[in-house]
Amino acid sequence: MNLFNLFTENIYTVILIPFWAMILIFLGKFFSVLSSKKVVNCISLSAAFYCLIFAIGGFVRTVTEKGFLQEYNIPFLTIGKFNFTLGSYFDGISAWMLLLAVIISFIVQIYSISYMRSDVGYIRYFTLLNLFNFSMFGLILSPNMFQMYIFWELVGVSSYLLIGFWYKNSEASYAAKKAFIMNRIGDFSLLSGIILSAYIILSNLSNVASISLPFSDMMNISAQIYGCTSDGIFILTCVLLLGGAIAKSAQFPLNNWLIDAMKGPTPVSALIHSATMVAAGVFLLFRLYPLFSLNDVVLNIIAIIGIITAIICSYSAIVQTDMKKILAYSTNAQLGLMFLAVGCCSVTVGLFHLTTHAFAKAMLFLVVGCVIKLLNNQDIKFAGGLRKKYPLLAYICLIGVISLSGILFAGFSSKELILGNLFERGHFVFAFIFLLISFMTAYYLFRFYYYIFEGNEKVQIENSKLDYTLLFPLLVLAFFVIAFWFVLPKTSDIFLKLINLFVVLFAVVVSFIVYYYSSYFRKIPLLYDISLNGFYFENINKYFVNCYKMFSNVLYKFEKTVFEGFVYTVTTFTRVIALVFSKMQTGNIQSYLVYSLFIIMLSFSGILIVYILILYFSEVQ
Amino acid sequence: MSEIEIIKGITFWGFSFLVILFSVLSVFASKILYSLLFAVITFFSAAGIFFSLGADYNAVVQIAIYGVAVPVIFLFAIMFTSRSENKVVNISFKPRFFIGFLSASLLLIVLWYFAEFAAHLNPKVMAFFSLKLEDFCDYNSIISIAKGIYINYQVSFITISIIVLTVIIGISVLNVIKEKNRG
Amino acid sequence: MVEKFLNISLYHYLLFALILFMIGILGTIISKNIIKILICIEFMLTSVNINFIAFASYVDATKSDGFVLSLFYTAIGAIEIAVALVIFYLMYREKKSINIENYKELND
Repeated sequence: MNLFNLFTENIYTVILIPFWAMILIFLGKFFSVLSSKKVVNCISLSAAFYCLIFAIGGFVRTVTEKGFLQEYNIPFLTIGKFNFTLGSYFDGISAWMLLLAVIISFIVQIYSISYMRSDVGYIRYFTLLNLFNFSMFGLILSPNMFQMYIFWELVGVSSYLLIGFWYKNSEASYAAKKAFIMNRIGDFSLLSGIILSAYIILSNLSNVASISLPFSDMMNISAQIYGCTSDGIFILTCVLLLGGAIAKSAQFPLNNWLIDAMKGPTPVSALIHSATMVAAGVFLLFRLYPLFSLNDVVLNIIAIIGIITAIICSYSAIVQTDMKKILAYSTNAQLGLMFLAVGCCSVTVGLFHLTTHAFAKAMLFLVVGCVIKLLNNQDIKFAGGLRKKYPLLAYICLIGVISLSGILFAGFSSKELILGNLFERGHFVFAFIFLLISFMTAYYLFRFYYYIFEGNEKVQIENSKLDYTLLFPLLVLAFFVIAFWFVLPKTSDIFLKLINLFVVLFAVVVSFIVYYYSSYFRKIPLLYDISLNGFYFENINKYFVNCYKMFSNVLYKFEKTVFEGFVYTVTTFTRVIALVFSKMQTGNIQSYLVYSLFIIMLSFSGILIVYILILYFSEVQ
Repeated sequence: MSEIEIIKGITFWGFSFLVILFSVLSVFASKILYSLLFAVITFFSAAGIFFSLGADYNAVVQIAIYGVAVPVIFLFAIMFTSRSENKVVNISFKPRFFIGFLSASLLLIVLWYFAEFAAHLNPKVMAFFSLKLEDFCDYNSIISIAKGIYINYQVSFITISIIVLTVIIGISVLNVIKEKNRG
Repeated sequence: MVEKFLNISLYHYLLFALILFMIGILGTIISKNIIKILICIEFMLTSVNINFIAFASYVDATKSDGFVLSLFYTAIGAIEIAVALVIFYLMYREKKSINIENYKELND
């Protein structure tokens, strides 16, 4: 047990080590000391391995010891009587999330070594990856909302940098900007929420200690906030805090950035935009669940937002032809389901779904990375017949697809948990929509699988060998996907299992029929277009952007005419005055005498005129 | 109207006429030596003005310093700087000087009439012109100095010392100039 | 008429001093000869002295302060002129000219 004490007491080093790795790699490149790729790999992987060991050690401790909690705080900022602290807060949820993030990060780094081998920005890539690790681990281990907000922004920054990794591609830089701006909206909302709740705490309770919303005291603080606010203000606070989660997890009003975020490298998509960073929004929900659960309206808002996102994104995924877009829409939909799970069921269910989805989706993304390496193309129309040449890849992909659809393995358990909870708590409408979403999920995932791995080969494959460093991470992830099946709790309701299985298998069959006899099916005009364009969210965004552009154009013209004109007038006036005065500098002492005389006369006459005016008006009155 | 006032008026008009005439002549004189001569006459006339105001002592000092001592220094300066090409240097009517002078004098006259106008308009301004010195400042310190000078017969000592100082400075300056000329 | 003409007030003295002062300024502005400029400065000093004494004899009952200050001004003016002439002579040794148009170092 002493050994585990070592891990848990020093768990904050998990935040610092990736930071130092980042600094080391970055400075090494800067001074061209460590520009060798092997050294970079060594630093990055050893940092990740260190984190892995500590995360496992801490996790074991939390599992063996019920209700284990380790908090570590250092003072960071003191403003008057307010103290803000940084540190680590290690309980069950953060141990679980940390383990998940660390494992996927470690695996993705191994995968990246061979995937990014020929890229120019190899060192930059690993720097950014370590920056992301630092910020993500800091976010997971943050003891209060103050630190969480800092790392929340850092995660957004690293996401921005990694989406725009190939910044010479204008689409990628556009997508990066889009993701960043949309996240900024959410961050602003989150900050407003934090400030509002801090204001409520301070003005009503004068509780200086809990102004930064420490998670260790969350139950108490939530009850206090709930006690001293009206319903409207409470819901407003919660919705503002929720806004951050909505933007980060790409939920309904701000769901469009995740699709464009696929312009980044595929391992990044696997790590950040499917498994860890987008789950940060859900993690925020876990952390603030004591607050949200006090009012049913807030929980319903969460659930409705989740289900709307899930429907929209599942429907949009059906007709996409870009592999990464299918998976992105799928991720988005699954995140919506997590919101639903948190809103309708409980934190645990959401956490389980997050975990199973993270492993399966990361695995699928890595498979897609291999496929893109093989085909040099992302379109599923050009793929096909890969199963005969690469059976291992195909079976791994099949495991992921089956798990995500909920037929077998980990996904099966978590989906069943959600469905069972929905039925138990009487949300039958949600349960029905959930089944519909399961149907669509299974449909598009199997369509994805058929198009890539079945049928005939359409493109000649050039580099036919797959590196073992590409396949090993896939195997590890597949192992986790299968292993979680045995770990997760199961409902005993055989009826629900049968319904779920029936719906999903029906979807598989439909998908197969549509794929195999595709020549017999025609595109339905309106429904197809809506699905292909993702409910035209892009156009709605563009409308807002255009409004903003018009507004800024007006301001620009105003600035150009009024301010610049003013400045121009001032400079011209000054120049003319300076010219006149420089002409006046004759050097002759007598001219200076004249000037001084003139000025003295002016001032005297001014004084006398003012004096006489004052006298005159005082006389009149 | 008493006799003394009539005498006072006659002396004022006479001496002021002399002062203005000779000062203008001094300004416009073609030769610098004439200019200096007219200036001496101006200073003597100014001493007459002082006399008409009842400041006999000041008049005497004025004659002693401005009438005798200062012209002597000027005279030496003129002697040292008299060269053939310097004799033609007189006055220049550059337009800007003329305009500046005109504007200044016009402004002064306008101001003067303003003041007169205001005095007729408002008794308060009249009161401003009839104000005594005590109303403007606390002059106890000045009066004590003056009494000290007057009562203890110090004033003659001070004036004599000033005259002597002037002469000493003048002589020393001349010595310096001579030495530099030799060097 | 004659009475009015001979009734001298403070204004007469002030106006006279003003005219003398303006003549001094005129001479200072238009003269080329530096020695003449210094003489005109003496005119201005004299007009100030006249102001002092006029004010003292019309406004002040004891008349002491204006007279004493006038004395000091006389003395100080004389010393000032002496110093100014020395400085002028030192400059003259460089330029060999008494024309003020040749002394234009102020705008360098």
